[in-house]
Amino acid sequence: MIFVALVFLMISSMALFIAATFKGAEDKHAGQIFGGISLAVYGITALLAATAWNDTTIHYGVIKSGGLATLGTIIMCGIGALTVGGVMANPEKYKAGVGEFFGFIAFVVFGGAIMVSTNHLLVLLLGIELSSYATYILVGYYRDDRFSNEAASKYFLLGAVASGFLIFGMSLVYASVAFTNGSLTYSDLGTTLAGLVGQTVGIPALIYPGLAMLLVGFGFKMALAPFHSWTPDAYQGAPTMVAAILSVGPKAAVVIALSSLLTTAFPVPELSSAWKNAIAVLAILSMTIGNLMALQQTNLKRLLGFSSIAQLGYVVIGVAVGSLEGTSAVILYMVGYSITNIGAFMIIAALRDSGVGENIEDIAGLVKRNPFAAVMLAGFFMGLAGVPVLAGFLGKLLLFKSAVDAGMIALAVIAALNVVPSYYYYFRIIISAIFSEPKDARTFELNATATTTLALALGGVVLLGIYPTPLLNIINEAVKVLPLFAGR
Amino acid sequence: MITALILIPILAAILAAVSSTEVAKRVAVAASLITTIMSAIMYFSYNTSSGQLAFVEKVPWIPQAGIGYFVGLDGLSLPFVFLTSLLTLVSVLASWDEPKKSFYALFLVMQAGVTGVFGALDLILYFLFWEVVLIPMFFIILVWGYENRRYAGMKFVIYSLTGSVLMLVSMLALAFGVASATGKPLSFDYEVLLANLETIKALPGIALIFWGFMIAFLIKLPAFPVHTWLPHAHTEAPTGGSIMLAGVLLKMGGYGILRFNLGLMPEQMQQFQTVLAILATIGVIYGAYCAMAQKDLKRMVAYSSVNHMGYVLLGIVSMTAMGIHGAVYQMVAHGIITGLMFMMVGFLSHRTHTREIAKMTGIYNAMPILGAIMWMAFLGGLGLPGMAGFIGEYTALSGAIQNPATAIYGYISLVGIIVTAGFILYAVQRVLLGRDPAAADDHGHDDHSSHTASHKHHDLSPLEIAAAAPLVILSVVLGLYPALLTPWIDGSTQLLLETAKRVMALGGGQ
Repeated sequence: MIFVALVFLMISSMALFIAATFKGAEDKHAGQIFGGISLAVYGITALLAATAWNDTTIHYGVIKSGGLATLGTIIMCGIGALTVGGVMANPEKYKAGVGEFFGFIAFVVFGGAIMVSTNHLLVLLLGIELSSYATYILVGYYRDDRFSNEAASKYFLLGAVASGFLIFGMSLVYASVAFTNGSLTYSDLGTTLAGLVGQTVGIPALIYPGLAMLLVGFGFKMALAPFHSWTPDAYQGAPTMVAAILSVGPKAAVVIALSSLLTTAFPVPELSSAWKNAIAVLAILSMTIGNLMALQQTNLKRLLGFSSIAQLGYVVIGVAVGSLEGTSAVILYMVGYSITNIGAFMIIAALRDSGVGENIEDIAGLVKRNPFAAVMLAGFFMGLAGVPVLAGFLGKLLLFKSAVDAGMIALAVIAALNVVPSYYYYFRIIISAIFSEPKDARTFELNATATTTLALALGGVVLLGIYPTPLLNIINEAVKVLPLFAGR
Repeated sequence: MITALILIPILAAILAAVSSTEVAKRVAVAASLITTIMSAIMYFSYNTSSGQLAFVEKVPWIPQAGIGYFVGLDGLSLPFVFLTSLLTLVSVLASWDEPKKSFYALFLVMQAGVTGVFGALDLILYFLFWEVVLIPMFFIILVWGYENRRYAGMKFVIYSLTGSVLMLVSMLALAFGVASATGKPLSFDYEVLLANLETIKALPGIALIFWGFMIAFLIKLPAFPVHTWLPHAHTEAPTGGSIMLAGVLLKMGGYGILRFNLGLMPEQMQQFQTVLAILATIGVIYGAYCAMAQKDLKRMVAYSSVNHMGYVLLGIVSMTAMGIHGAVYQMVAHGIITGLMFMMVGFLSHRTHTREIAKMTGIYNAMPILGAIMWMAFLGGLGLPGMAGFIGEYTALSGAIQNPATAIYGYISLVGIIVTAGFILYAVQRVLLGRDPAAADDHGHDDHSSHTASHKHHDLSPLEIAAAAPLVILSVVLGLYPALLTPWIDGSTQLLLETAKRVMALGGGQ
């Protein structure tokens, strides 16, 4: 039962906050203790979620157990656990309150778990807001840092506007479709719409602006171009591990929720062609703008910001296709991308802790200073580029394939062309790390936690690249609950 | 069997990486010896008359994307698989005094990768192995190379990666094209593609796909004008690295052209025959002249590879049975003979501490065994009748002349033989002949000569002779008794050409 998992996660997140107010929560081991508790919480939540695999209960009409909810929750827990691992490598940095920091991460995960488990538009909004509020605070966690504050305010203001769009869009959807029975569950929306199309009424006109506003809101949350302007600043200013979870956590949840929402609530052909085209345009814009902007970045975190815009552009190709293949490719890609991107941020954070800067010229000749770190860096950035044997390649391949199968050949071709510039900027970093002469030849060591977490993450990236078949089967099984479009 | 050939070196590499240097080199020898014997058994147990694929292993890997673990060998790949194991063994023996264990581990990884390239029959799998080869070679050049290793390693990687990317794009385009044209699920299986040759022929943009593959292979081969990485990489690589580079890594290019360009896209091969033949001819002549101009002995041998690979390309593009046969024979012969040349040059420069031709003389008198083997290797490179290289060059050129479309290039390339003879004999004269400098040195005024003369160079040690022996024997045996190789190549070449002719005979397409 997914509901139990969600309740457990909620209570644990709150407990983390309460525990953080106790005396001794500022102890020097607090980071490890709270981190360990968080890891345990994610593990138990994932186990609880796993029990809901074959369950199809709908709890209180808004939370739907099932394969997709289970898989989504487990993915969110995994993202949370990996981020926590990265934070535990050096908890000293989050002196403003380590306990609360883990609490906020737990709320990001909790919000994401709600998004993937719900079948109700309003609850979806609650999930989005819950994780958004947690991330607003996390981005500004370096209270004394001007850039962190700047990032937080930009992110908050734009995020609030995006939420406004979402709510307005939802109210228009309500006004145009749901006013008859007052139900905002996905399936009721879908049935009502199908009914309206069946009658002479046709598609209510208000649904178009409603859907458009929803897409604008989701676009903000997923950082798709042209709603991406907050991303680079927020990533650069935020604490590195916050940028890590920000770049994948809420996005993974939103992407899964969006696939589920669009295919269940708005599958009628008159409407689906509209949102498919809109998302295809967003995908093309994101890929192109993200990649072109990333080409000229010198700050690694900022570069990863633009790269995440491009990566999400690839991802939503599968949402636009909406077929079984497309949706499972979305989830596979998102899993691979999450591990790889968190890994990339983790190595940047670890380097930062060892006194290496965040700019490309700072990591020059890294292989001479710490070969392990250089291999990790090369591995994660190659994974992001989509080199075969690593996680990104197969995901891209399946996404492009689903687009070709669905007849969206232009989209697939543009996406494939977009891979070329992305190779350039990812490999520029690797080349700099391996071939350039170091400006500062001092060697350094990474601490044990960082080494373990990085190695685990890279192991995951390689495993997903070499043998993704079991995961793909699970994903295929999970997305079957959705009323997806035919592949061809 | 093939999986074992790939796994044994990998396991040995892991073992070598965790043990001490002394153990590592013995592990490397043992592993490459076992794989050499295994591949020899496979070679002789192959049914040469059918020319079909044998030792096939096919396991679904990522069925959702049509990717499988599909390996198999036929007469075109078996000789190279054997050569890979043998040359790994020889390279390890030739680098016996290397103090770092990772050196041996990298060679084993490379062996696994190259074996995989020749065995893989799934496009994605092929690509993976192709990339796997790159990494150990890069580190071998970068860590153990000579002065300009950094530049050479970078150039090698950048050229190879450019080719790889083009090849990957072409592979994806080919598989996607076939899948959407036939309406069947996406598949990277070579046999599936082979069953859809007519569809491939009619694919839009097939010429681009053809060139995507072709450029990757031309870079690897290497052919003019994308050969410029080779002199640097060969010269700067340590002896063992040069042997592997020349011996088997270049063959990945020729094999790829046969397997993918000719095997899957014969129509385009025909279409671009002239362009490729011209490139091949330039490679033959230009490579030979460049070799003649070199002051560095190792660089000269490197340029001779450009010259020899020109014959290979010419033989393949003639699209005659004889030409292809000659190309494969020449590749095997070149692997053996050039491997031997690099080994001797390596041994020599190890002793004289220079690779400059001008600073060496009378080597034959000073070190008779080394001199004799080197002499033999050089004459093999010249294409002396009775040695393996002659049969390869002769058949490749006759094949080119048989086909009226490429005959003219065959005739022009004959000039290359003269130039090759020129640079080889010139080098023999300068390096091997003459008086032994140690014996000639009476006064020792000249700093350099007094240095070299102060101690007499040692001739080859038994271990070094053992390393050279298999190559010496093979280069003569294959020169005198081609039946050891010919039937293997013939069966599969016939099959390849029959398929190609059948597809080209079909109308439509263009």
